[in-house]
Parts: sequence; C-alpha cells; structure tokens
Amino acid sequence: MAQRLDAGGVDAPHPDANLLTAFVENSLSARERSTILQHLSACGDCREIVALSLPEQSAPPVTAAQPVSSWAAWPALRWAALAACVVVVGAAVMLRHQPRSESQQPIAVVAPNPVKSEPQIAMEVPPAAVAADRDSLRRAGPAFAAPAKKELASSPHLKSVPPPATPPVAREEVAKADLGESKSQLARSDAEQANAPAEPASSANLAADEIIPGRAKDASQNADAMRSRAAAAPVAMQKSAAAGLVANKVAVSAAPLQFPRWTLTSDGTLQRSLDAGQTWQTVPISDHPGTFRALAANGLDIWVGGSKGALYHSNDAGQHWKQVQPIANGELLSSDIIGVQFTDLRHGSVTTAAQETWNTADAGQTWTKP
Amino acid sequence: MSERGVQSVVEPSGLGSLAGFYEKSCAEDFGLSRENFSAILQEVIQKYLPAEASESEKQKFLTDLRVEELALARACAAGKEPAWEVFLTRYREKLYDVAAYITKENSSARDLADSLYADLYGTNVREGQRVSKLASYTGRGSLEGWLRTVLAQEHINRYRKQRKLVSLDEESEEGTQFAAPSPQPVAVVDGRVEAATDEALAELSAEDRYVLAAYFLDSRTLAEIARVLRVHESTISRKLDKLAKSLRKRILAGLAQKGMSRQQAQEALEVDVRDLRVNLRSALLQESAPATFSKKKAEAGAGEGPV
Repeated sequence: MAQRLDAGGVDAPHPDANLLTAFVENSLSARERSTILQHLSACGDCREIVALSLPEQSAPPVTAAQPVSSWAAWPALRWAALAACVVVVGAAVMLRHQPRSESQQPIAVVAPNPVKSEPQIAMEVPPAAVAADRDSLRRAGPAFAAPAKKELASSPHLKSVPPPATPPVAREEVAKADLGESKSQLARSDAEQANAPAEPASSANLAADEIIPGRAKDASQNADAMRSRAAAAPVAMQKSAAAGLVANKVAVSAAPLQFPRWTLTSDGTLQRSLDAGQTWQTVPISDHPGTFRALAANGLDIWVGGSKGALYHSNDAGQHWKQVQPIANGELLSSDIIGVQFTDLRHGSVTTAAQETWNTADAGQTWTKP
Repeated sequence: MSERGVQSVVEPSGLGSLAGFYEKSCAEDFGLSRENFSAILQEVIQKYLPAEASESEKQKFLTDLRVEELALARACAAGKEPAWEVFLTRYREKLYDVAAYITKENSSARDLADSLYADLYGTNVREGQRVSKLASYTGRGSLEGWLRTVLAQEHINRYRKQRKLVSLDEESEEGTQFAAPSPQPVAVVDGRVEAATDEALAELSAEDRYVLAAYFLDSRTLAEIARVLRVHESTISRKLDKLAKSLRKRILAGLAQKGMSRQQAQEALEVDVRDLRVNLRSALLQESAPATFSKKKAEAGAGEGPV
C-alpha cells in the first residue's frame, strides 16, 4: 500500500506563490500552465491554495477547513475517478418526445449565495412564445462558429425534436445568453489549453446542443437584456439540463453529478437544493399556491402531488412544470394526493386520501385505476 | 514562440535593453537604482527563461512582467521607506480582508495577516541579514494575487500543523471503525480495479485530472472550478460528464482485459468505491504530512538570486 501511495504522488516540489498566482491570473506560458495543472491534479493542498487565493466574489467560499490530504494524491484521485463512474450508473434517460404544453412559470430561485463566478444568466424569464421552426434555427445559425453549424446540419438532434414541441423558454434564453458569454471564454480557453484537443469539439457540441432550443432571435435579445446575477449552481443545472435534455444521448451531462435534492416543507412548498443540501431554494410550481404533500424525484424528473388532485410533473429538474390530470374510466382524479411514486420515468403511481391508487405506465399520459 | 529570424535592435542583455523597463516600473521613485533594478530583472529572467533564450523572447517576457509591482516589492524588501508607504497604502487593508476571507473568522484572520506582515517586513534574520518574503516576488503574477496566495499558503500550513495533532486521535477512533477488514473477494478485486483505474487516469490530461480532483475530492462547485480554469461553467459540467462516461468505459474495458466478466466488473465498481474510500481514509490519516510550505522553504526561495 505504501508503494501505491508513493506512486504518482507529489514528486515535484510545490509551485511557489509566483507561479500559482500567475496560473490563476493566466499569465503562464502554455507549457508552464500544463506543468502547474499536472501538479494541481495530484496535490490537494495546492488546489486549495489556488481556490483560496481567487479574489472573493462576495460569496462564502468553500470551507478551507476540510482538505483531503494531498500526500496520497494518486489513490485519492483514483477514488474520484471511480466515484465519477458510479454516478453514471444512475443516469436518467431523458424524454425526447414528451409532448409538453408550455408552462411558462418563472423560476424564482431564492439563492442565498450571490454570484460566485462570471456574470450569470437571469433565472427569471418572462413567458414568451417561441416558434420552433427551422427558419429560426437558420437565423440563429450564423451567430455561431462554423464548426457549430456543421454540427447542426448533421446533428440527429434536429430530426428528433418535433416542431410543435417548444422547449422551455428559460432554457433557450439561458442557452443563448450562455453561448454568447461562453464563446469568447471558450475561444480563449481553447487557445490556451495545450492539452485540450477535446475542447474545440466540445465547444461545437455546446453550440449544437444549445442552438436547438435557442431558436428565436428575440429570445436571445431578451436574454442579453436580462442577464443579471444569480446563483451559479442553479444556472449550471439549467444549462446542463438543457444540454442533457436535447442531446441524443443519456442525459448524464451534469445531472447525475449534481442531481438536485428535493424536499417539501411542512407548509407544502417544494424546495430544491443544487449543492447537496447545503442551501435550498423554493421552487414555485404554478400560479395557484399549492400545498404539496407528495414528491417523487428521479434524476431530472420530478412529480409533486397535492391537495385536490393537484399533480405536476417536471422533466427538467423543476424549471418547467406541467399539470397532469389523471383520468381513468372517465373519472378525473380530484382527491388529495398523499403519495407519488415513480420507479422510472414512465411507471408510477399516485395514492390519494381516498385510498385510491392510480397507475401510469407512460409517464402520466394515461392512467388506470384498479 | 521564438523569433529567431528577427534582428534584435537592442543590445543583448546590456543595460540599454532594460532601460525602458526601469522607467516603466517607477523603480526610482521606490528608491531602487538602475543597477539594482537591472539586476532584479536579470534574476527574474534567469529564473524563468532558458539560458539560450533570444533577446526578443526576453523582451516579450519582460513586457508581460509586472515590473512596477516587482520594483515596489523588491524596494520594500530592501527596506526602502518610500516603497513601504506605497505598499501599505495599497495593500494594508486588503491584506486583512483577504485574511478574513481565507480564515472565515476574524480572530485568526488578524493573526494570519499580522504574521504575514512580519514576514514581509523581514523580521526574520538569516546570517545577519533581514530577509523579507517580498524578495521572492518575481512579478509573474500581480502583487495582490501573490499576497493572496502567500496568505493562503500560510493558512494551509498552519491548518496542517493543527490537523496533525488532531489526526492521531482521529486515527485511533477511525481505526476502530475500520476494524473489520474488507472481505477477501473485494480485496482481490481491489487490485485490478486500482490498476484499471490508474491506467484510465493516466490517459487523461492534467487538466482533466485536475477537474476530477477538484470536483470529487475537494467538493468544489462547477462555478469554482470554472473560475480557476477560466472557462464557462457549462464547459466544466460537460467535461465532467464526458470524463465520467469515458472513465467508466475505460475502466470497465481495463477490467475486462484483466479477466473480469462484465457483470463482475460492474459490481466491482459499485462495491469498490466505498471500500476504496474507507481504505484511503485510513491510509491518509496514517500518512504524516510534513508541513507543506515551511518557513525554511520560503526563506530558501527568498534567499535565492544573484541580488
């Protein structure tokens, strides 16, 4: 074991304050930067120093008080790698063809921590009807780099998105604004990263993934106008939700790595945490104040049930909600819902105060009542 | 990067080529002579550039260097009063603020900042010479950033020392928790999983490994990681996603190569994470971690250089 601990451990001396500072401020040559990253990938102490030395952005920083020892860095990293793999296992397969009406509920995320990084995208989005047609796509096209366009043309995603399905507005605006924001940063990082052959590809992917929802021109203008500071984590969640939902792949993007946690407060409000329970934000579901008593969460897919048969479903981690009104044998579910369980995205059941259990096998489109 | 074909119009490494920088740096105002400052620049060049660097490479390097801050810092290190006045005006408050941010509670913040000030003033005496930490500043990064980094280093160093005292207790506590050794089959699987994981990790770029470590080991948020790497958050989230998937694939493939069936491999991944963590923790706690940034090292760094 001791041998393993030494292998791959920190042999090189720690970079001095000059190099670490220059790294953070991006004044190193590509080669120097790569050397520093090599060291950082194996040295928890230096990682922590780098994190602490970042200029604060009026947000409580991650605690300095719990560094994992750096001396056995390699095995520690091994654990990190395995943790990453395990997380993938629970991936939710996203719903591609789920017809959804537009529930234009703005998400008011009450973030206790103000922004921690670059200007964030506004979370509150006024409902706007967005025409999802190829023309808009083409209009949006020129705004993006050539590789992105190519990606667009050949992307199977395009075909799989049915025109009537309108993706959530928030996501589009987020996506567009994000893209504008990130393009320059990505471009910069592309140029600077010596070891990042994947980067250009991924920036193209970003463009492709997020072009698809981000279609209308006015959406992007709105997004630009509305760009304001919001909590970093929810935004990441949104964007990863956006990329994940539309991408023709298992929606792992960041979802399993940062699956939100959900809870219902004692007064029936739905809350979500994007940082593993450290902070919680209220998630309003509908215009009508609801008292929700039942909750089922499956990755990005959330069901909440409440009084008088109120049943809502979100498949984008709570950004948008659709009310679901179970009907079986001509009867509408209208009693208080006290339990919701979904074993996967399609199969679930709702239990009511009237001791009834309603089942669905198609994610809530149709229901049966035994 | 080199411009070998270009005729250099400046005298090679003569004082003339550095004249412009002397002006730019306001070194005179801080009390440093031309010679002083030229020597400092030479020192920095030698530290970072190879001996065979061309004149234009040196010029480019110096152009990117923070010469004004360098002059200020080195003048302070040399005890020049005018420099100290400027330094204190600019950085005094900030230092306390940064210390508070780093330590998250003001009592030790004060302590940390004061201790750094002592180092900066050069209250340490080595061979009869006052040694100031500022003498080790080379102008690669901003002086403010450097001060932050140094504060962070000092803080980590202190924290480490403290933890070492505690860890012995923890160890005996933890020891009882981990008393039950991993069952035999898992121990066997461990070896292959470790090897396969190591192999997969080795194929990653340094930056990928950094992201992995920062996210899973340090529990940094996507935003924080993105800030360090100066990319957008979504880039990090996608990177993690890709990493997770490709790691899993590679490790499973590696395990298959080592003779595991698919199911075995998958199970091994599930089980092993926990056990590995358990083994890791006990191993880590037993490691005695020497002080990362001992004063000695820092002083050694400060003492280097032809000045």
